[in-house]
Amino acid sequence: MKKSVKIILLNMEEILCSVFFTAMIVLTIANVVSRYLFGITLNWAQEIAVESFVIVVFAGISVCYKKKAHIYIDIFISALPEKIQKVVLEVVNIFVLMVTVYLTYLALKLTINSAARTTRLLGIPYYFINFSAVIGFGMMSFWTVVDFVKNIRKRKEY
Amino acid sequence: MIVFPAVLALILFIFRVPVAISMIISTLVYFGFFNDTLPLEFVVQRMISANESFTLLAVPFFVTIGVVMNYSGISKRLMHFCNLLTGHMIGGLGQVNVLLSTLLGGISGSASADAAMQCKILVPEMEKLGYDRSFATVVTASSSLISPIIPPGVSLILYAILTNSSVGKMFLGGYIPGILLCVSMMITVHIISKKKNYRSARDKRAGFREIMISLKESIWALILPIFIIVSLRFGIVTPTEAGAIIIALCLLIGFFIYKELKITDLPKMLLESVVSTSSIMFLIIGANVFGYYLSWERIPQNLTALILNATSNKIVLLMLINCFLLFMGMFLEGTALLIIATPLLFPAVTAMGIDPVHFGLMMIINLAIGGITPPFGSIMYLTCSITKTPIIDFIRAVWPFIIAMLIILIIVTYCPSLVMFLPNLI
Repeated sequence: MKKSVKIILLNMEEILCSVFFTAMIVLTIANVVSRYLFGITLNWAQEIAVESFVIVVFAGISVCYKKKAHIYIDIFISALPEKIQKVVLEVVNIFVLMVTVYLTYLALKLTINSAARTTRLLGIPYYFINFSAVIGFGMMSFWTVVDFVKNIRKRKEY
Repeated sequence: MIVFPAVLALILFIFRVPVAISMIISTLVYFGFFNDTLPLEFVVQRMISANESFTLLAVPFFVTIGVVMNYSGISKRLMHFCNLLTGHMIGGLGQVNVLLSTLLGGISGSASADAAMQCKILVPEMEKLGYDRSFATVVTASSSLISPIIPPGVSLILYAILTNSSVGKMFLGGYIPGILLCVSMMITVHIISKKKNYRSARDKRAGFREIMISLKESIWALILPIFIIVSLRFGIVTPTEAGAIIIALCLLIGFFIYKELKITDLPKMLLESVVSTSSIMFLIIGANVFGYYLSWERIPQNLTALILNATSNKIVLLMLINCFLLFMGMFLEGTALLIIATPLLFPAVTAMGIDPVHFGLMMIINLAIGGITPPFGSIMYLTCSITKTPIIDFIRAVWPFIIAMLIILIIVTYCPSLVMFLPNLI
């Protein structure tokens, strides 16, 4: 039981993204089916699909970090000697960490301020949608720190 | 005009900061230090609202289709079909490789899903028949670049959104250049295979009966592109909805007709789709806020004035743009470059009276070439890392394909009627 809780917590973003990704597909199809079979356009389904898309993308930022899927240009760095490369990358990582922490703060500020704003049709508070940015940037910062700690431990072993 | 944030972005690119984050940092610096009209949390707000677009929702769907086809066995059956059609030719499996990418391109929208699948399945087969591994990898990498040009393609959708053109017209514009690329690559494969004496995959031409049986097996994959064209042409569904429906159809085919999909595959497929979606979309929203800074400083307008002062000749202008993009494509990832360069170049191009659809296809083919040119070609790195080919061998083998693509690029650039023929029929 405890093990499964741990798995869920460690893969929180992945689970969140998968759920909303499924919702995106199902709702879009539901809209087409309902339009042709029943003649009813489900505008609300379209709205939820689009908002789910936002959640998938922002929470997915952290998933991309874990899977090393962010797009970057490493041609210049990889031309450096290996030792310098490591040092430069460490510095760059700390810098990116500072930025993602700051973005988490901005996203949090936005989330708190956006309680009054709601979506057009269903009146879903933007609270929920904006919070996905907090998750994405926040968890990316978290995993960056985890990687740092791992690296330091590895170095101590030598 | 404050250019410091733009220069900063370039410096951050060089230091391997993720492209999207570099652009966000520059925007934050701009609105933090140079322009205080916007509280900084609104930069995040803008990123979120840039993402709230039903048209953009087509991007994750067409990315997912590529993933689903690989898992559901559709790709495998199409490969068998292609083998029957072209396997007996000189360099048989090479021809199969090119044709398969073209046919898959009619359903899926991304080059990387296509390249990854063919690297795993076709390259080992080609090696068994005596092809050099580097040649097999090069054919796979180059031909996978056809998939995003044959509609539906993610870059076609992105360009249409960036320039407010019609997605449907961009789609129709993609067919002829895509087919031209396919033909040019098949000729290239033929010439090289003849020189290196690569065997054909089959002893003789497949019989009519055999082809028909395989056609029946893979008919689903061949009908889907027709479904896309027809439904878009008559406005039955939007491109986004077409994407979602095709995902559902591919899943149904995989579960019930080919019976190759398992429920346990679903989480894996979902995760793969989430990762490719998020990495592309993060780039797009980063570029969106960066574009906000650019337009605030009127940088595209200034660039337009600069270009129009330099030349008023369409032919020269297009040539200059092509050279510029090819050069940039050597260093930047294609989607990133498309998102950054389109808003910058588009005003100048329309001012010259060049059709947006024509310019879009020219640009997309150009950027596709960037995927296999050293030193930084995203598809080059992807395929080489899967097949474990040294980059230097890849570079030695790739130049004939680059030349073939350049020829098609020149044809497309200077024969707009070739691209515009299908879109103008509507």
